[in-house]
Amino acid sequence: MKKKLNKEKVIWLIMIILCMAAVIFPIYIMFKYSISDRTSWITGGKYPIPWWPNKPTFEMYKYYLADTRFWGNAFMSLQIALLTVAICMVIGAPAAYSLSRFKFSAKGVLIFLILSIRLFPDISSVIPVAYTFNVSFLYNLPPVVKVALAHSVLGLPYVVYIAQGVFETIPVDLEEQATIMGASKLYAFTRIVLPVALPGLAAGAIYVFLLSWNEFVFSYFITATSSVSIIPLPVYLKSLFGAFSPNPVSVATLSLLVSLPVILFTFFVQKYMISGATAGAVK
Amino acid sequence: MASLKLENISKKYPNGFHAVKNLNLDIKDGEFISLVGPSGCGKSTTLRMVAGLEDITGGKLYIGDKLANDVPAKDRGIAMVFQSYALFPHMTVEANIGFGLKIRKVDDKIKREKIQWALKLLDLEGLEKRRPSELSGGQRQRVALGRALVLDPEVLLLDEPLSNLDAKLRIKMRTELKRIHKKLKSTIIYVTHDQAEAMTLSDRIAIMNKGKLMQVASPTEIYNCPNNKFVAGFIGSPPMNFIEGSVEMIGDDYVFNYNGGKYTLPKNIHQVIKEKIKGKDVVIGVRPEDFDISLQATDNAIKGVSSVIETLGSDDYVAVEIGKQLISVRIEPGSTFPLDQDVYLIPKANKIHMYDNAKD
Amino acid sequence: MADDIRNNGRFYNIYRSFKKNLFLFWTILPAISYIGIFFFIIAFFLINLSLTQFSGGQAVLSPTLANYLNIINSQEFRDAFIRTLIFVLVSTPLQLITGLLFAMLINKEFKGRGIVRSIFLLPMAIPTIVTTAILLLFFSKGGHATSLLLGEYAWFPRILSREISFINNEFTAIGISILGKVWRDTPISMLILLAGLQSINKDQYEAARTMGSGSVKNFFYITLPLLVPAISSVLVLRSIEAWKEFIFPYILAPSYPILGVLIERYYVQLLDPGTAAVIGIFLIIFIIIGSAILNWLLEQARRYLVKV
Repeated sequence: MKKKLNKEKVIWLIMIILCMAAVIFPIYIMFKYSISDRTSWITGGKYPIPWWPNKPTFEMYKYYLADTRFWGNAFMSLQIALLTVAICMVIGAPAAYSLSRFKFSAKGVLIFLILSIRLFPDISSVIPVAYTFNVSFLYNLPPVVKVALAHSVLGLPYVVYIAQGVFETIPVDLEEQATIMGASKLYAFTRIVLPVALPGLAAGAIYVFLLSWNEFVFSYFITATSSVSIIPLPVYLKSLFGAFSPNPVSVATLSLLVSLPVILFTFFVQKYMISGATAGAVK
Repeated sequence: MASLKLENISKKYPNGFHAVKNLNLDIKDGEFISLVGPSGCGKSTTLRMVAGLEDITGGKLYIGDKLANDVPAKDRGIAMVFQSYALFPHMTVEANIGFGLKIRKVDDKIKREKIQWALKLLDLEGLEKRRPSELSGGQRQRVALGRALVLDPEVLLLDEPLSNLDAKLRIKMRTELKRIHKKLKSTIIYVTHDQAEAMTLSDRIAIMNKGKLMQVASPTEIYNCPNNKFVAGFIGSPPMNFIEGSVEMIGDDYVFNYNGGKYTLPKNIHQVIKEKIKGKDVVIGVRPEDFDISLQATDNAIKGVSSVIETLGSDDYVAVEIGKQLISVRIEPGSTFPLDQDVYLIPKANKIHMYDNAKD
Repeated sequence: MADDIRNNGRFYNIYRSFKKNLFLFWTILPAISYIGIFFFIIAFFLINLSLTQFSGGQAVLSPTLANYLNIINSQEFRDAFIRTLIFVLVSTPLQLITGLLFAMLINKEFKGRGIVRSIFLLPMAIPTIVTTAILLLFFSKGGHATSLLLGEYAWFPRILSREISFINNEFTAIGISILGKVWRDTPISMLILLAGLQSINKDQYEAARTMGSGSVKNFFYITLPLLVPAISSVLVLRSIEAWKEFIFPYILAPSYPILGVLIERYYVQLLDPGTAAVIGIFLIIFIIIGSAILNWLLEQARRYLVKV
């Protein structure tokens, strides 16, 4: 009996190490390229590409971190992501609350409508959305706002879906108690329900933040047509390896710089991400 | 403090479910009244209508002498304690108790005094800064009670407040509640499915079943003179015994025919039969303690066979088979009773209840 | 006074239900209108464009069904459809398996669980465009993959005799796209399945163990059936995303477009938004049909499981 248990444990350990390796390997490759010397690439197929960094150097990092354009783009990405989170939470959380609390006949239709926008392929919906932003009265909005508004279309269904699950876990008793004690619906929502729901809602906010930070298609189509030179980081990265002979060290370095904040972020918020999924996912 | 009057109160849900049917109830100022019944009997719905959490779909509700049907919950002068306590998990004990006062914009000094008063009354001193998650079940229950009491409610509504506590604590809190009621003299409506709780706590008990009010009376009256079979079977532990049979008139006497024999009913029940019994099929109800049991053959007795003994410590009960029916009879505790013997049961004359055995 | 109330009853009830629902109205309205407006714009544009014929970027005829007819008869479209179908049929089950594996591995108490969880979540956090960049580097000419398969590392056998271009070979290009997609989206499947696993009562395993069931049997007779709802949502949600996939094949298999990439090609490179819109509409129809079939299959599977 005991021996069998150990065997299971060993298999489990091996599997977990293999899975971690599968996840980390590409990230390692990126890291390796980013600190390799440029010359290592030019050998081009003659020798095997080394698995270890060739003459490690932080040259490229120094270059990007001193580049104002990089910082400008990074700042834009951050602004977009935060604005998207704000829009999605402010609009999505109250709607999710009402959808979870009130029983009315059109509820299913409303939820379906909110989620159904995700049926459109991004590449199909980006054209009308970009067109609307660039032709209508919205033209004069700053690019940050335009992109954030577009990302909110993608993020809102997630927030509504997750937040609805979170609100359903909060007992109605709390609000009824507050109501009896004299609180208005709005007061009960902002002072009782929201604070209790906050950890769960954080999950929604985190997903939307990641979504916005990582999003490429909408960012690309909306900013490509504007004359401003500041663009979100994913678009900036694409512009690098879209060239005919991309410089791998440069691509890898920028890739890592774009990913690093979200990688660190994930380590801090993984607990919320798990609990958010538990609240919203399976039903 | 206020009196309460429910006049033909009904609750019908949009889906057609009739949760409460024409309920009439007068509750006196300062009275402790319990609503009891099995789950789904409409007792909680009634309470929620009084609280203003559910719309009243028919009838009138008076709090004091004011019609309160359309008065919002917060203006009804009520306070409620939920079964789940509904403590706000992100607030301290102090903030929980002070929540209602804060909303009513009560002066800070008075608020503090009130909170202190409640903490002292409920023996919660020293726990002010704790969160609900750091409290025991009994403490949570008292915080919930304190939160309701600081509002000086005209009527205090308690929805199964003790059901989440373990048995020992429940009995302790029962006494506590009675003490508080004695001290504050508030009007209390108490919802429970536990008849023992209702019996020990209340001035009067209202028993409900399937949305209808079955009987309202003091605990003693309800125990001794239950109006109908449902009330008779619901109140008391172990419950009242029912023996099915039919009744017929032979000469001057009413004779009860049950599966396995005949029993001539005592004279004092004739009036009841004349007034209340319509059909031939009846059940008679006798509480376990209201039998005389003997092993000697007796002329006029209900005959059965003793089968097992149940010991509760303070009392012993012997189960007696009468045909296919099984009834329970109290005997002297600690006495040995022969099993698988013919036994003869004589119900105490003034303790026999009789009801129509109509299929409802 | 009592009569007053009876007379006003109906009016009062309407007023009350209106007042009661006001909060509902104001909370839901912004979200619904935000989504609704974009929904309307996108749908209107797509339908309008699909009925317009373009030539050299200029609208020449509207309304017309020419775009639809052209697309139905187009070999390119059929090829793209087949590729998309393969992409969906391969990547969706793969994501389910990897997600289930990840979820089961971390559905356990152990030291360092938080860190392992974070690592497992990383692919989702890393921008898609970065993932494509890494794959592009790894599989490019003179990259690790070629070096590896040409046997240039001492520890790995020589498999290829000459260098191939992964990006310019239909099989490998789509394969790499699927690899990238599965790598990136596994954490999402994992989260959904983990939620499902956590809702399974541990007592059931203990009960099964007392009846002599081992780990493997436990997995097939307890875990899998109880996980059916979670598995269903993984399959449905992930397959919709796979149909819509754009970025991985766009970067990694540009010469072998799947439907999403074909839309971009028509819209941006061939300046034919009409055809692009038609493909988009077809894609949506495929998604709906595909999900319907999948739901039907899952329903059958559920029934089968209940029977056994």
